[in-house]
Amino acid sequence: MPGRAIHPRVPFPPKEPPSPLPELVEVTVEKAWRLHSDENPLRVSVHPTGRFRFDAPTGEYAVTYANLDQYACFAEVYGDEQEIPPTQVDRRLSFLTSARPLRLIQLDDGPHWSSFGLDMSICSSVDYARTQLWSKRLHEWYPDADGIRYLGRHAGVSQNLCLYLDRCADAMSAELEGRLGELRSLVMKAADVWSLAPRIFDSESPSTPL
Amino acid sequence: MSPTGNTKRKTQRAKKRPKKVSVAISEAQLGDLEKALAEEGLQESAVHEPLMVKGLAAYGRELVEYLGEDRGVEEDCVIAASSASAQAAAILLNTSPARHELLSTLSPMRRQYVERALESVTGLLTSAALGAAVSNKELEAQAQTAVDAFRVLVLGNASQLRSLVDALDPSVEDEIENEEAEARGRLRLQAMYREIIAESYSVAELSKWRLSRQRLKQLRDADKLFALEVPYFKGLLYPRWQFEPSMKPRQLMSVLIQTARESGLDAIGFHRVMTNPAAGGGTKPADLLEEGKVELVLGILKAADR
Repeated sequence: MPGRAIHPRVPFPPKEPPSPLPELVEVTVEKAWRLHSDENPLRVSVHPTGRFRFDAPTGEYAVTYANLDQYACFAEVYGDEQEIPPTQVDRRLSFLTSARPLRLIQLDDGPHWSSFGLDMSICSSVDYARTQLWSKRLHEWYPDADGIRYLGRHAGVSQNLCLYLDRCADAMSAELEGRLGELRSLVMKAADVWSLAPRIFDSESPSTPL
Repeated sequence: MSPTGNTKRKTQRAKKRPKKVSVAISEAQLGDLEKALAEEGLQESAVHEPLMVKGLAAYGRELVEYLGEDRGVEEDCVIAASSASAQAAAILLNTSPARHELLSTLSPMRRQYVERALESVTGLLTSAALGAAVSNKELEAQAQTAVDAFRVLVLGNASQLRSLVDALDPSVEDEIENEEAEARGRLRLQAMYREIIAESYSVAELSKWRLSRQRLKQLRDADKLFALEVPYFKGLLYPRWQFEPSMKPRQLMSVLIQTARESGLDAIGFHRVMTNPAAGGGTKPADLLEEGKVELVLGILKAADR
């Protein structure tokens, strides 16, 4: 069909790991930003059927997500709507810090994608059922890994982290920056950088429920 | 209009302004402004009086503040700035005398809005003229850009507004000022609302297909359709993508609405996800439905995380 985008498929992960297995990278996280609804951004929540990119497909382990850039986490969360709705006024912005270097699987550059037989679609595909299978395989192949570092689907080179909480929750701490309704200047700047319409602060806008 | 009389009147207006700085604008500087205005052919009689007053007030305030900062401004610079500002004001104010006549027929409240906008734009342009070495030609271009942007903002369609927003996008590296972020945020909201209106049917439009208000409510209550509201449009809007070519609701609407609701999306958020190619990996999720990729679309909605 002319003009229709081509969707690169993420391949199924192989049963056996590549040989040699790419090395992990060690990173001490000073600030990784997370937008969250729960009071505790590190609360272990397992989605039994998997929901986000690198969730366990059937709830085998818990993960959480963060971005190394304060503004970019807004792009990742609100990029599909390209707007921040009024319902988000109580949502919290926190940063996570690691007490020790985290060992991360690198899915944020070409050489590492290639070594797994992947391309950048592992970071950009919306076929989450397939990307979750990769998370499970990587979790098995790397028993020492604390998580995955990957490119943002919306945020691009601003790196995302998917943390395997069964392995690193005890090394992580979180500090609340504030609720979005209280962080107008920051939210407006993030919206500006990532072309998001800030409906959250539009007093004229009705939030019609579905 | 005698120059002396005019100068006196401007001085009186200057005195009425709140004193923000200790240095007062001098008679000579006001004379420069007067001269520049005359050279630009901007006669007070040719424009609406309150607009002129507001424009001059904005100009005077900027000038006084600037001089008050003791920047060692040379007289030539003040004259150049006066000229440039007058040129900007001429473009803004003097495009069509007929419009100024129309303005005088507006209600005081509506005229106040127009005057406030004018004051802001003129003030910004004046500030630009004073704060940097901007030539007359450059300032004329800036003023014209302001007029064009304003015209697109008020009269433009969704795609024109989107182009404007894109053009105003800052690079990530730039330090963003609060005011600029707020201004661009307002533009984006306007663009989004206009897009939504353009992408939706009104109740009146749907009545042509025998979908009465009552029937639409029944379909909404049964989760077979959803509607949304935007500011500045009275009534409900029904996004077009939820209708088949026969104008019946898509069969999948119930499951889509329920999934979006469970994810915490509101009506605008749901519509935005379904019509954003970036949400579907390059294809609008609404179009992915036509390709039979229902599970993929449901997965996208589940991942909305609200």
